[in-house]
Amino acid sequence: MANERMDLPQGTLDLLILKTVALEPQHGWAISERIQQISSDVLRVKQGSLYPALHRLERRGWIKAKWGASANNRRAKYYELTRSGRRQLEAEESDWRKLTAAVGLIVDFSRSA
Amino acid sequence: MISDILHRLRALFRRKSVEAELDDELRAHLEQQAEKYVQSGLPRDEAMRRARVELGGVEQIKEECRDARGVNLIETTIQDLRYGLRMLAKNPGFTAMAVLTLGLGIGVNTTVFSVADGILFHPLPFVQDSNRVVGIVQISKDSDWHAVIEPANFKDLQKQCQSFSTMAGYEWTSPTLAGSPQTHGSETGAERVDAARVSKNFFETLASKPELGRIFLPEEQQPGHPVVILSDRLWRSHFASNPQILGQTIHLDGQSFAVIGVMPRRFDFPTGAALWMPLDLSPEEWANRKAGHLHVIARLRPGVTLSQARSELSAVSGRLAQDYPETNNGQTAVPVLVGELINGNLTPMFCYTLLGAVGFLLLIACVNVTNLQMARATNRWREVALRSALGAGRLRMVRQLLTETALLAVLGAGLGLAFAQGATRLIVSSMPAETAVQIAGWGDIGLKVRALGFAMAVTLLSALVAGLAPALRGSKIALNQALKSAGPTMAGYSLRLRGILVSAEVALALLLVVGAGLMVKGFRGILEKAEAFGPANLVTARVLLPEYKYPDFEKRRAYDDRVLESLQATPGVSAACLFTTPPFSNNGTRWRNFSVEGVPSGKRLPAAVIQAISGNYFQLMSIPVGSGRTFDARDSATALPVAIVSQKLARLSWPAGSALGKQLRLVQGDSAGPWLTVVGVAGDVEYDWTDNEPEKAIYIPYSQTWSSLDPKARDEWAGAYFGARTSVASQSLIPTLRRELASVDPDVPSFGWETLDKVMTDSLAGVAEVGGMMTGAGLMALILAAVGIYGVAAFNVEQRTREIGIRVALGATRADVLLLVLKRGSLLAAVGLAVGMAGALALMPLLSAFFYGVKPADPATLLSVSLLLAAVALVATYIPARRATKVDPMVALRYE
Repeated sequence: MANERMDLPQGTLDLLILKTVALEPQHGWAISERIQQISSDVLRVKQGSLYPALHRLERRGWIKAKWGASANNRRAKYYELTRSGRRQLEAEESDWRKLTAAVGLIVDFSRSA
Repeated sequence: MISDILHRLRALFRRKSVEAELDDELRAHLEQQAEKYVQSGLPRDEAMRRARVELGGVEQIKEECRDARGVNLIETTIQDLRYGLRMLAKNPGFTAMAVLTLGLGIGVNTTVFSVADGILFHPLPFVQDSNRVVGIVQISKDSDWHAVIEPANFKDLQKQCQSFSTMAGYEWTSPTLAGSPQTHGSETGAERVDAARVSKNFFETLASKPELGRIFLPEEQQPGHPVVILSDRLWRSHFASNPQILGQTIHLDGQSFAVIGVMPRRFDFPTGAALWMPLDLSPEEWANRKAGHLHVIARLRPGVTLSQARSELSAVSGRLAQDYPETNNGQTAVPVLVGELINGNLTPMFCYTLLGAVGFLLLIACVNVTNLQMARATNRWREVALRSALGAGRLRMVRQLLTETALLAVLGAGLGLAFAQGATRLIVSSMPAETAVQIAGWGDIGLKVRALGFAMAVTLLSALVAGLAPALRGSKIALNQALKSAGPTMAGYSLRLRGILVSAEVALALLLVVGAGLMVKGFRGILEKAEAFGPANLVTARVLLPEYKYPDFEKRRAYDDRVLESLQATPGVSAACLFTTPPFSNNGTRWRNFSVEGVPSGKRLPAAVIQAISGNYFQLMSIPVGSGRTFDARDSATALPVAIVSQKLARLSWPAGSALGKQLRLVQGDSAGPWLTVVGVAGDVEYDWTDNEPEKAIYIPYSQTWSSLDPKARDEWAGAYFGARTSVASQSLIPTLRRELASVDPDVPSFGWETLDKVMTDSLAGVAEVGGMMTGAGLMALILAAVGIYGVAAFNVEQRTREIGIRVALGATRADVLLLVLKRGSLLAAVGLAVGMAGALALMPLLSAFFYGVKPADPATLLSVSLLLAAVALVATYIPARRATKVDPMVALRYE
């Protein structure tokens, strides 16, 4: 099961990025690693889509960027959640829970019958 | 939101640093990923390689990030513009051709728009909110469009209608303006001017104030207040723009009038009025409900719509019809936008036809440019393939190609505007002054802001029309074609499309040329009708009999007789006559209401053109007198009052039997003249060619003018027309005739010495201009279509060079090759001609309904134009065909 890597379902990248960054400010590579780590290696971020997504979120004002020193003393661009980003994250989280609950109901429906 | 904008701005203005950051960011990522691989045991470069592969195409990621940043549109547009300019510069031949073609289309359209704007859309720029001002006209059940309103009805409308904030009436008059005392009696001293007598509120309705002085006071509307307001034109031409003009007196019809104001330069209502006087009707005249003579204008109250006003007028008219069934039965007052009113029906027709025609021309121009571009696109397939391989999306490519077309269009627009500037000036100046004065808004035509806006819209439209197909087509060249390094040889779909376009061009050109041809033919038809009068051999002139010397009719008649005698005695003159207005002169015709004996007197009276003539008028003018007789010595001042009527009048008034012996009388205001006995019926004549058909006419012998005509007419028409029929071209005899006339009485000024030719040409000037413009457009369409056909044929040959080479190598003769190429071109042209002819057949009835002299079916014109176009197409195809025959098979086979 750990080796079954899955691609991110459509539209969830934003949510995952926001959540990851909510925990603490991260730079791009670290965000991608984090998502992989926390999902027990199931979720694999397509690295090519990460950066456009980060820039988009930055433009919308949900995360903001700051250059800083990374773990191995290299210059890296750190992203952190803004206030409006926090609000957006809450909204997307609640949407996600509603969505998965509803889907779950349908998927479980046949079994109970 | 704000961060969004800030971000975009930052990305736009600090591009370099933003790019550098992006670079750093991605590089940092790669390093960290490589670190990870190194730590798991891979060698350094292998780790780097893996990291790169995992990240994917860096350029593409950067591009997507740039997209995400959101200023891409502006950046890429600037890029596109730069690139487009470079590409255009590399191909000067193509660029010049395309720019010229588009420039022509845009320029011609802007020109026609400026003209239409000046005379049709905004003919009254001096009136504030001119779309709130209406004219009120009266229509009746027998649909005799009669613009004028009876004074009593006017008063009632004014009182009872709530829809209007002000209402005013006016009428035309032609007083004689005397010169200064020193020039009195000389030729240039006195002249007839067109003046308007205006009621209270006239200037308020038009929301116009005088430049100098004031407008009429209410009390000046009563008889006995001789005041005038001058037009700017008259002030400049006759009074040298004298700033002290206020308070000075001028002499009209022998009376003194004080100048109390001068209107501003642009004020011109009613069109052509030289001065304004108060409409000082007496109470009896105001009570007249029978004969109409007032034009009415009114300003809609704020918030009232035109349809509301219309229903109110209809209701009020209904009430008036009930209250005064004798006079108002069946009459309804109707509001008409004042702009429409003063233009008549011809102006909109001409303008819209021209606009349509040049619209077609623009389409043809766009088609040509499309074809040019498509040809070019096929040669750029490599570039397109490369860009698409590098990741450019289809949309991006389309945008870039469209930008190129837009550049062409903008450059063309620059050229076009310069052309339009010159062309409008030319058109305005080529209208003879006498005619120009009658056209509302003519002097105001020029490149205004509106025209510039129109030009911009047209430019954008043509860029889109001309650029969309090539852009879509050019960007479609798929990757698989790029792999075949030979590239597309025939681009079959594109070729078919271009063929369709060329056929469309030919069809449009045919329509245009046919339209122009028909109009020119119609115009010539009018001239031919005019030829029936022998206009080159007829001189007309007018005299002004000074009041002091000719106070009564006897003296005037004696003078006229002497002039006729002396003119007839002049060598070269076969006959001389007297009349009121010449045929085919469309201004100055005199109308009067008349009533027919036996018809109840209360009904609304019809009107007819009145001519006071000498007996030999009909003979001189070659007008047949069908039944009865013409005037002769019997019809003296004391004899039975007689009249001759035109055929149309006879038919309409006495449909049952002959008109001879019947009676009618002229009515002016409240007074009616004596009963006139009809002694002859003359052929119909068009005194006003804009009426599309002859008017009803009543002729009275000049000797009986005093008794048969009302005082107003007598006064107005004292300066009658003399006509002399000459055996040689009249122009040369004019100085002699002038001397002869002056010798009768040197104190009488004469003026307007013109051949009937010139009188007609002047009045037809407007039609001539339109005809000229249509012809010009037709010619341009022809040239463009020829160029288009040539372009496609030449391209076709170029594309098929290898095929032709093979055929020749396999034994095809020159003739075979020629036929091969000609076949395609001829097919395209034939299709175009067929479609065009069908369209023309549909269009002709439409044109004939609106334009004078155009027949609903004119196969001769259609055929000749089609043949012309076919010949042009043939030549255009032949030239590249000939080149095709010269193809050397060895070269062709090697050609790639």
